[in-house]
Amino acid sequence: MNARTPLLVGLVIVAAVVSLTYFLTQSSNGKLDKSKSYVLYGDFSDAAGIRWKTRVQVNGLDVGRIEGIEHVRDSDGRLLARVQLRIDRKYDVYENAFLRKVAESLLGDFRLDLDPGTPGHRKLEEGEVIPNVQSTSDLEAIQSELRQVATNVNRVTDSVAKVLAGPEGEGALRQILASVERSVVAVEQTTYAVRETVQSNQALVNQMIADVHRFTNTLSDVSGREGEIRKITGNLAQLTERLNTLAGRLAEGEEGGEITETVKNLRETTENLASATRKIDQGDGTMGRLVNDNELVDSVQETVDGANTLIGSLARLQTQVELRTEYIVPFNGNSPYVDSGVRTSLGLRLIPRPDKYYLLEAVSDVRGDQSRRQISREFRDGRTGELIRSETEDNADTNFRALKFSVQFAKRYYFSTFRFGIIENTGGVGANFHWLNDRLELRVDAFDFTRRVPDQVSELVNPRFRAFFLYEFYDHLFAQAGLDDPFNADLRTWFLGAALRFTDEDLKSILPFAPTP
Amino acid sequence: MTDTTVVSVPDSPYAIEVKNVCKSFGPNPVLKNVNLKVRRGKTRVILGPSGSGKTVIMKHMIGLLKPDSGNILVDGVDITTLPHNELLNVRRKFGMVFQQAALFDSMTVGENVSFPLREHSVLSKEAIAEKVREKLGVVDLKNIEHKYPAELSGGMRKRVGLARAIVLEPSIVLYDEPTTGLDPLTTDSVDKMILDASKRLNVTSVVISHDVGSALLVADDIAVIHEGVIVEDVPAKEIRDSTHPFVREFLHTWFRKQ
Amino acid sequence: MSSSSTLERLNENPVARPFVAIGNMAISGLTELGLVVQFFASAVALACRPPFRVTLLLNQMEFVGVGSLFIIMLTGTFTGAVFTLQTVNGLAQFNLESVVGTTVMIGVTRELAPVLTALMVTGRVASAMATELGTMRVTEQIDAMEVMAVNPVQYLASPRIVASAIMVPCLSMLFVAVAYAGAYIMAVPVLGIDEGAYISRIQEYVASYDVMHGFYKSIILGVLLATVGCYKGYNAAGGARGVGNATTQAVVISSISVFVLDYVLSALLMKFEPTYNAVSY
Repeated sequence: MNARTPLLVGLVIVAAVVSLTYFLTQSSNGKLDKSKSYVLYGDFSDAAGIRWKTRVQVNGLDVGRIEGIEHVRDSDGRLLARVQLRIDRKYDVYENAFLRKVAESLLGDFRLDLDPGTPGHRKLEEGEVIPNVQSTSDLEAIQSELRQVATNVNRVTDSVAKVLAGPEGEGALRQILASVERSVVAVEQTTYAVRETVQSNQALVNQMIADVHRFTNTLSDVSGREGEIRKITGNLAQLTERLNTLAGRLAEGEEGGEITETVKNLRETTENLASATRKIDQGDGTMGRLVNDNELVDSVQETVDGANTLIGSLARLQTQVELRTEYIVPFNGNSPYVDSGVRTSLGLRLIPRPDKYYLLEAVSDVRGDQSRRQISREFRDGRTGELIRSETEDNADTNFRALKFSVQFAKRYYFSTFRFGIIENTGGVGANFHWLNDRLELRVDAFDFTRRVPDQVSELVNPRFRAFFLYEFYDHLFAQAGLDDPFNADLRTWFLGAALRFTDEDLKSILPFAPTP
Repeated sequence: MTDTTVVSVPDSPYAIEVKNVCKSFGPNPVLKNVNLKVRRGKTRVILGPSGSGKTVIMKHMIGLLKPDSGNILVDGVDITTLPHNELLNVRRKFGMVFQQAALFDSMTVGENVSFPLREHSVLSKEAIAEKVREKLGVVDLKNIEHKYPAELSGGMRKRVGLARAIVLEPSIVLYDEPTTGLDPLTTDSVDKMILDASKRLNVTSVVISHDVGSALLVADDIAVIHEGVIVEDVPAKEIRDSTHPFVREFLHTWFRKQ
Repeated sequence: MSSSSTLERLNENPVARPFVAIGNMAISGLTELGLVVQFFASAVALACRPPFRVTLLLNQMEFVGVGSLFIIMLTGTFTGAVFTLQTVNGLAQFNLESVVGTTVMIGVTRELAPVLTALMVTGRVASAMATELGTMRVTEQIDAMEVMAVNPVQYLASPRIVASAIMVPCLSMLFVAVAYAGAYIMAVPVLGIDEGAYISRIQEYVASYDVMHGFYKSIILGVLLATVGCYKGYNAAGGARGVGNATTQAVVISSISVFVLDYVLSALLMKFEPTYNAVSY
């Protein structure tokens, strides 16, 4: 080995490492590491041109990047492109934020322009969806508008060309001009007549307008109520019809006698209206009470408010039902504790956010419960009362078919969901692992940590574990298979089954804690 | 790396025994039921024309090839069934001188000779240099440690090859065609080298050759191999009296040339 | 020997003969592939086992890395410069000259650096390895080593493969650096592209994934070319001509394998990169 060998080799390696680190730190995504940023989502109906690494800007300055795009279904089952944005932690985004797609160049590059909203509103947390999103960019809109305008212009020029083409075209044009001229004169005359009429009845009209104004004000307060309103609107229809006729006659230049009559009728009608509204104002009749009773109005308002909040949270809340049924087979066919049979469970998931849910579950289990009874017997000499022997008997009653309940809280991180709470009447923890776009799931439960052998009350056995796979082979339908209680030889079983899981919107309204609006 | 677990069986008079060995390369049988014994401390020459399978026998002896059937015993230990790492230990009993010396041409003579020492001993640099000097002395070479093999003549290269073969002080030295392609003078000196080595170092030697002259000179025992079969196996003195037609022809051709 | 007589009959059958030939070719090709993999596996296994041949490794690292430095520098600089020059013409049609740096650097980091480095090193190093080991094989030096109870794969192949696995990625990174410099010189002073736009576009669009993509590939390609070179040399037979054949085959096979493996690795690595919405392979 040459004495310089280590030196030269070392120099090359150091140079390479320097180059590697330089280019790694130079590159853009080094700047937005996960600890200094957070994730928000935006649902686009059109995500064309948005790609991984597309920039997110506020006021034209970068604040984040697109991390990914995937399809999701909204509550109506419509497909949307859910864009995952990674935003620098320095920038808070509020509920009134607005996200839109902006064209960067004519080549179809886009960036996302984010208006982060104003601090008065609720701040969006990691993983939330930005509610206001505009999918079509200005450029796209302009482009489609331009296209439309061009079509229209085309159409106009086409017809102009048709009109003007040939010698008869010129004649037609002259004719058009003449009739236009005539129309203008007629219009002039009409407007003059109208002005005259209006001026002569100025006061009347003014009052009429005032009445109608007041009426509509009141009307708007009580809109939606029937009864008198139907009558009033009937009158109103009559009234407008007559107004129409009146206007028609005015245009035709007829004399004013009829008008005066009409106006008189109109006045009568409005007087009727006025009296009706006056009554309402004074609180007469149902409507009047409704309109004037402030307390009532307040309580209605409150109810509506409450309903709104509830609907808001209900809109976010998803409820999922999961029905599982499985056939259980013990490994040890002669096991005294378990028999083969069917286990069925009905679970309800309340999902306030995509990454967490509460699970309520009822299980009808063939394994049942074991209750234990200890019987002590003493045998004594009949004469002396001396104890001859005593025996204790453990008596296990296996109660087949027990109904058990689970209540768990679950939180999801990436592809795993962790659960804890009560599993089948005992404390427990569990985890679900999701793969293949959540179609494949491995569920692991551990519970019943202080279990005893059914007929040997003193002896603890291993906690109960359960692991099984669920595969969604068709929408909402799952096949499942797994092992139950593998660490206890006599209790070990395997099972096969099917499951059904669906999102049920109707359940929301019958939830016990939701006040009925 | 000095844990030489030498399993010697002193009561066996043979250093190497080849028993019923058959070997084929593809469809061609190269060795057909070969039996051969090498007496301890003696020089055994395997004589035969090119392509007769003599080199294959030698490669079997050192474990570079495994027989299709049959056994090879080195100091009474069957090496055909040994795992690789124990086979490596057996190989340290051997030194081998290759046809063209097979010196590493990227190394100097000194580095070549010291190569086995550097690989298998923990001797100090000075001790290694001393040993190299000593072994080069055995083959009558001096002060050529810093030369490269390309600067040496064929005979010198063979001597360096022998020095390298004996530097770990093996009990068996194998020579593969030691005199092939050498001029008569060098042939003579190589023959002398083989004789000297076996005398000075008291080693068992196996010489593969088609050179009848040097075979007669150096051998204690001669085996003649023809088309994978040992056709004659006698002490060196009796080879001239062989009645086997191939041996007679082979020797006759040589004597006529003389 | 009914099988051999069947074979003979098949060989005489004019219809069957081409199929027999294709079948034989496939079998020998797969066998050879298996042997290369086996050779590589034993070289790696032996590299992890004492004795550790640090000196040999350093020598090989010098040979592979330091020795190839000059041609890599030269190739890298010119690749960056020429690629820039050619790309600018295309991009100018869209007034997108400022993204030339991005285009060139993504091309260099992901593809050109690992592949061209591997090809240059193949020409220089894999051929040398095949020749050296081939010569040692035909002059019985490898046998001599084995007789002296030194594992020749461990002594000869392991240090070469490990050195290549370390130095080829290093060279590839240096290729990236000099290509960057070459592209910069061509783009900014020569072609007069706005420097700020040029550099910021590179920073915006060239990701660490791109750099790592090329880096990972160059490790595998380095291993590949050294393995092929050593394998061909180690199994050379037939004197000087055999050594020559081994060298030629080593260069041809490892060059082709560089391209094929590069494609496979690219497709594979892209599966692990967050390239959502991008073209899938």
